[in-house]
Amino acid sequence: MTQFKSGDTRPNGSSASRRGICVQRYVFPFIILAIFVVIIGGAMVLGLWQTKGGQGRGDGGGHEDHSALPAIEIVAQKSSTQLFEEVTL
Amino acid sequence: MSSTPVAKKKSTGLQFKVLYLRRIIQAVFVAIVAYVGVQHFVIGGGPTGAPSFDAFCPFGGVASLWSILTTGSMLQKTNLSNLVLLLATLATALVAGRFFCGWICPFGTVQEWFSRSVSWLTGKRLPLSMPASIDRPLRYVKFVVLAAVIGATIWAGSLVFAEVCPYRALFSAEFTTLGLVVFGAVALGSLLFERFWCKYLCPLGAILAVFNKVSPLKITTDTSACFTCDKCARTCPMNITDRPERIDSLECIRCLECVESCPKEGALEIEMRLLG
Repeated sequence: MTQFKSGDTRPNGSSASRRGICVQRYVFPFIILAIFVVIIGGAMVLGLWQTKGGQGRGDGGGHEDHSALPAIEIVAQKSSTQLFEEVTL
Repeated sequence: MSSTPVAKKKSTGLQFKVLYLRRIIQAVFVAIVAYVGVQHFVIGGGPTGAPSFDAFCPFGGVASLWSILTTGSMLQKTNLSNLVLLLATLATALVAGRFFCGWICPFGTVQEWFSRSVSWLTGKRLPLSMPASIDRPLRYVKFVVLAAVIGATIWAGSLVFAEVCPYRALFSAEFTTLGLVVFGAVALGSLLFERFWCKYLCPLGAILAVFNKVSPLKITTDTSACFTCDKCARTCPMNITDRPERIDSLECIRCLECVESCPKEGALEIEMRLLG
């Protein structure tokens, strides 16, 4: 990066009216991409990069685990038709 | 106009590298997003499957953030990754405005490919220029789209935009009729006008556009060096014609096409200025 002030003469001879820091065009995309990648990488390290399960309302984690439920609750979740089929079979 | 002798750029191989670099970076992001979409389509979702394309959309983060602020909970089908992507996108915007649109957004890249393929096939620079009287008001439509999408998302409590999003229709391989119709229209628009979606309709672009005014990194014109050949204006994919000392147009995507095309060394440069 080269600091140019108003009134400076540039190396190529053109007069410059710049007041800020000129960023090399080859460096510029890497600076910004680094910001982008570092934030995503940081989130991954911190465990915040979650792409599955859906944390929103009504997502419910995408699956149900019945294994921990007591038998009486599983029976309560089943319809009378399902229970009848299971008993007769 | 300047009467000083023109300091021409040295035509070294390096001159073209930024344009090539941009093409490569864009292609990498397209490949990543396409891989996510195909992987989800082939393997399927669920706890043991591949993550959905929706988890990789920064605009999903916008809708969900709004939902968190207003209702206290995230939207259905959104994940923390959406918020992380939004944060990363906003961080780049804070420093360099719509850099995301010009270098990262896969849908912007695909539109550029559409336009270039037409030029390549026809041998003409076909993407047309919209007449200024129509172009100028149309540029504000994306802000209306943004307001409508956020309003509809809050009202419905779900990602309503996902149904019509052409970016999702292309990369997720989960096709809805409406999504395909919108994608077809945008693809046709992109064949005729460069970055049609970005210029007129993209709601994420509308958010990032605001940062163009405040970001410290901008393209600047050395008015004493510029000899107004207008080559920069002709190569700009966003059709920005004004060349003030500091380009803070809402449309500039920091693609550096103008900087690269400029025949005068030092007339257009990227400058960081915190104040002013």
